[in-house]
Amino acid sequence: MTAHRETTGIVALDELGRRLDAVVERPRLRVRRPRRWAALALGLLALVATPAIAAVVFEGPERVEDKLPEVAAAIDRSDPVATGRALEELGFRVQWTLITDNPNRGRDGETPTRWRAVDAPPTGTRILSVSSRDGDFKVDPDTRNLQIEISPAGSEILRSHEE
Amino acid sequence: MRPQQHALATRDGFSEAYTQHARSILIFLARRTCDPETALDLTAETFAQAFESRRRFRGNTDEDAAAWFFGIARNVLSRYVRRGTAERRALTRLGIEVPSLEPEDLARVVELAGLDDLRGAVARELGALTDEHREALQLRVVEQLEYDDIARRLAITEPAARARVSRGLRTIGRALDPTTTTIQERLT
Repeated sequence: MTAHRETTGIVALDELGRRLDAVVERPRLRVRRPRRWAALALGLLALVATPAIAAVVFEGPERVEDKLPEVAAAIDRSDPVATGRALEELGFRVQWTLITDNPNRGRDGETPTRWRAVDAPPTGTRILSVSSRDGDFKVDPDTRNLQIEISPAGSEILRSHEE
Repeated sequence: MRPQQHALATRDGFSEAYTQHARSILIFLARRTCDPETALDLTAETFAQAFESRRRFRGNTDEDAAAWFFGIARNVLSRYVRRGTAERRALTRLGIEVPSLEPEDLARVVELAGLDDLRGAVARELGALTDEHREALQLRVVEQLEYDDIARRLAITEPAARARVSRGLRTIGRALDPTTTTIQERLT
């Protein structure tokens, strides 16, 4: 815990920060990756285990592409138009969000980026991220509504993601 | 693959990032809800969600962290606008009560977010709407009627009711933030 905090200049926000600092998280059901000595046993177990068991034992991947391999195969980050076409052919519905650098970023209340929904990816954009329609990266295999964030090639936000 | 993880994933790192970004997030949300109390509720839920998922943060710069916080805030705001109530799921899971804004805080947020100007702009735009658009907007946003009810009340078709509300929201949305159409997109 931090012994000293800087302040936000707003009393309620500082208090909220202290309450967040004081949170003691309840332990979550999480099985760590196996140690080497256990790997063999788990490997044998995997021979008879179902994919559902494997999903419980190991921490699942976080990206949509990892959960939905067909999405991973369809994504070409440098070509959002082709990606959208391929995903639609697979039965996905795609909502496009254009993310651009905010020239006023750094000022109070100014986001690092601007965003707006677009009907189709503009020319010269690349794919920034793929998520569910709510912007959540945790999806289930039945997910069919996707949100794809795109950004102009050369933008700061794209560079920071592709580094 | 990133060479190293941002300190945000640690408790102290998160605490520092909170101090650095909380005010900006609060003002960002205050400008979009025009209500400091609601903005504080949404800010609290934003950081509660961020706290819960801080180990999943994959950025390595402060700018990445800011983008991540604002992304969560955007989703929290979007759900608020769709549902009409501030979500508190992460806050409840963490057992956090949202502190109340004292009058000095309230005045400070109103000042920082420029809410007086914003309210003036909204009032001006409302005044500039045609009667039919203003009435449709009133029924949808203030009285929270469904579109078929609005259509019946105004003796028009449901598509016409949707169109009137949509145009009204778009006009006001532009006044609030010329670069986004969030409010219109979320409410129609």
